[in-house]
Amino acid sequence: MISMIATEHLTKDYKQDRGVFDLNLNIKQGTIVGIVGKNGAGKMTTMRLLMGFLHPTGGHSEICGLDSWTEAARTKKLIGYVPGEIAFPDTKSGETFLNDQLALLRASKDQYVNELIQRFKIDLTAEIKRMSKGMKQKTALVCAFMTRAPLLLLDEPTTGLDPVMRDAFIDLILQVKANGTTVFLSSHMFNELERTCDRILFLRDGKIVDTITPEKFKEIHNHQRVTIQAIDAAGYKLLVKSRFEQVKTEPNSREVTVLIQRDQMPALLKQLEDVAISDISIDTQTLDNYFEKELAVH
Amino acid sequence: MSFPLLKQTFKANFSVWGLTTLIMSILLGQLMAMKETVTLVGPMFYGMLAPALVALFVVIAGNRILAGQVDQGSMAYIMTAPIRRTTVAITQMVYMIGSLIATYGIMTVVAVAVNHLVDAGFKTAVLVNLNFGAFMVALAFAGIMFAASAIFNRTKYAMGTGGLLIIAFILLAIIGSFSNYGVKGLDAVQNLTIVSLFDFKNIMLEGSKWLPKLAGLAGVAVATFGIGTTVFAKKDLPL
Amino acid sequence: MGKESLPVQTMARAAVQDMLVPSVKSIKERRMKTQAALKIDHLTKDFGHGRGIFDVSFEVYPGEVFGFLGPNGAGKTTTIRHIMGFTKPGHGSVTVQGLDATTAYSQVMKHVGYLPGEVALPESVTGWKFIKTAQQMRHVKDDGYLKKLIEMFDLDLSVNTKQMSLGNKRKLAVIAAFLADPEILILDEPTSGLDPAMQETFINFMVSEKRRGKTILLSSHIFPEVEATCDRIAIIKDGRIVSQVDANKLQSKDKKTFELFFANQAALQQAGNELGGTIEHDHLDVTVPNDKLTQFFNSQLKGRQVTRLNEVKFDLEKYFLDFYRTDKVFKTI
Repeated sequence: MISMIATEHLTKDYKQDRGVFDLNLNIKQGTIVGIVGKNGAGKMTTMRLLMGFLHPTGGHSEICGLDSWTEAARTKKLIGYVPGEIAFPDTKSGETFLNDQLALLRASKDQYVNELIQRFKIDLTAEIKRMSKGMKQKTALVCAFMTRAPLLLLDEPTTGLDPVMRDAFIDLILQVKANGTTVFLSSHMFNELERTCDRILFLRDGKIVDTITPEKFKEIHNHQRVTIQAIDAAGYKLLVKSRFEQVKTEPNSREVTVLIQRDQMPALLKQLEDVAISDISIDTQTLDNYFEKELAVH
Repeated sequence: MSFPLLKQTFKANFSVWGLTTLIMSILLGQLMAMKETVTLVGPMFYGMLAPALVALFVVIAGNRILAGQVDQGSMAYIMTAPIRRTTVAITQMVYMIGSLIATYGIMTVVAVAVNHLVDAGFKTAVLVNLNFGAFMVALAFAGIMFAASAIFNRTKYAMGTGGLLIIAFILLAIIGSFSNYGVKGLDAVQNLTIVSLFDFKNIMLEGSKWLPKLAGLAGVAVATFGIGTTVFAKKDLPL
Repeated sequence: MGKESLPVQTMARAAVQDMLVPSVKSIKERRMKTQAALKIDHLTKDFGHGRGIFDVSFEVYPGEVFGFLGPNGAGKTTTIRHIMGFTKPGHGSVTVQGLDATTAYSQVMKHVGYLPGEVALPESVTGWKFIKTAQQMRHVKDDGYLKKLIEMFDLDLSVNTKQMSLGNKRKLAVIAAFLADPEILILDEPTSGLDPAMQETFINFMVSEKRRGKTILLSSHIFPEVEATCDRIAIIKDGRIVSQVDANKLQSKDKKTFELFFANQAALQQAGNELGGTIEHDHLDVTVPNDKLTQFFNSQLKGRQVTRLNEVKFDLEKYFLDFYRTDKVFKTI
């Protein structure tokens, strides 16, 4: 299978530990890879390097075998891009913008563009100046998808989208994946990544520190987070002393949050037979929870 | 060159171009129709008004075609097309040069027509040369603004360098022009501004010194457009 | 308040419980006594072609967080622009603390802090410089609240805005927008594009401001933050308010619903008979009041061969999802 994105020691050093460092990616055709991390972790820099907007200070990256810096113009034929910052040219309406963009991309209008417009419910006649963040983002999505590019680089594509539009986006990703399209996207909405991605890369301070595969998704979801509030100090003590993995303890409110595997539930219930509780909250562990610790690190 | 991009740039800047050209043409026509045509058309129009007015268009459009769109982020949509950055820069350069040719072409037509209508007494060749000289000033301005716009990712820096330099040149030209009215010490000021490379007096006297001077302006234009295009092709873009 | 020192997570949760304390009755009483901090009255602005907002009315009371939700392009930002006096109403009016938002614009600004969805900060100034300018513009003399904000958002103000990440820029924008300690906060999608840790910080900010009696209008697409903060929610669709709900009524916080799975059918049947609830082919759904939780876990579940247990939580997003759907056909190109 062809590598749609391949980077070797890709580095953009902005000094003061900012930038992207020694990135080695190999994204095969037809896969969907997500990239997550705090604001400022280097997601946008990675996207810009792949787009050939930034000159790497070290290493290099290739799009379908073409160097993303020296062959930038040729790689663009293969890429549909949603920039991380929403900014539109000063054209009149969404309609003029899409028409201009089609002309620029030397693509012709076809049924697919109109399908996308319906899918994202875009009012083309609305003035660009009066468009809200979400409306612009939807138009940017149409722009990235409309040429049926084999590779999509999407930098926080769902920012500002309402829930139904987020779902429409996920459906579309799964649909293009079925057609063999490769997608590399960044997001803060972990659940949408989970529904679409073959793997998720976790970026911290410009380095990939963790990769989450479907097996790991399963393992993460096979855990439950249980927050228990004890009525009395004795109960709290019992919970703190229990053998379950403790995520958080709050002595003031006598709350303990534990992380258990699903099959540990009977054991936890056994423990709860001896604790007087005023509140309990049980959640399946999510990627948010999983990343919480990593995200909290400054 | 990318025609779709050229079309976009043309549309986006049409109003500022149209307005500048319209005002300049009307002013020129008016001044030519008045009595003291030589002073009004010479030092007043070609010495001051023409460079100042065209600078409006050059600075606004010049900033918008590169730095403005990079700063705003909308350049991302141009850069997603399979167009080389050099092509983007050259297309925008072609736009700048083309619209200035159009502006001064229209002005030449206006000048020649008004000259015939009111019998202002200019030779057609003088009017053509005057407009050609003024065009060269505008071209050098455009080059300076283009280079600034290509080098910087921020509008304010592009304006603060290119725009400011152009305004400085115009102000110096205006200050220097007082030497025409007898303020002798100001002669030296003329040497500080590229506007003085357009020797309208010599053209009006039908001399021959003016043409080599214009080569200086051409040199500025070639250098700045060249630098701008090269830098734009190589720099990091925050898109 | 001693609670201020509690770690982040607890504060948010405690606040959620807090907000659920006042009964519906007490809210109604409060409404009768107090004047609305923000009153949108039959507001209409027709942009033509069916665009705009039409006959929008709602009131936000002091100390309340009002969720303002709706699909992209439904008119949230347009409504907010009216509140800020940026747009003149076609019909109807907006009143802020009894002042007309259109005519008494400058006075209204003294009461309102506004955080726009898209924040543009000047480049190349330090955070401090930016804050100082904002302070001077608003004639703020007292630094006390500013210090609190800086501490809460944990922002290094000596950094140049150019070097700030999106999250830090947004933090700076919030501090600048609210340093005058206005009574009314207008937040337009404050956390879109921010990482979950930052979203949490914002939730805590809103919760603590609400406790201080602030009135907050929150437009958002991110349901966890709406759930954690809002007292009432209005949905706007195609420029019209289509639903207004009391968030406290949607989900009862004084009982829990669990999904219980058992080792075998017999245990499931027996539990169904003895615990009540409803059997859903392979599991049992049981609702337990909070004050019966101890009894439930201490004795009722004892020896029942429970293999798995999940909590069924109310899903605000699901509840509202239908309002976001539309079968409109859009113009093609």
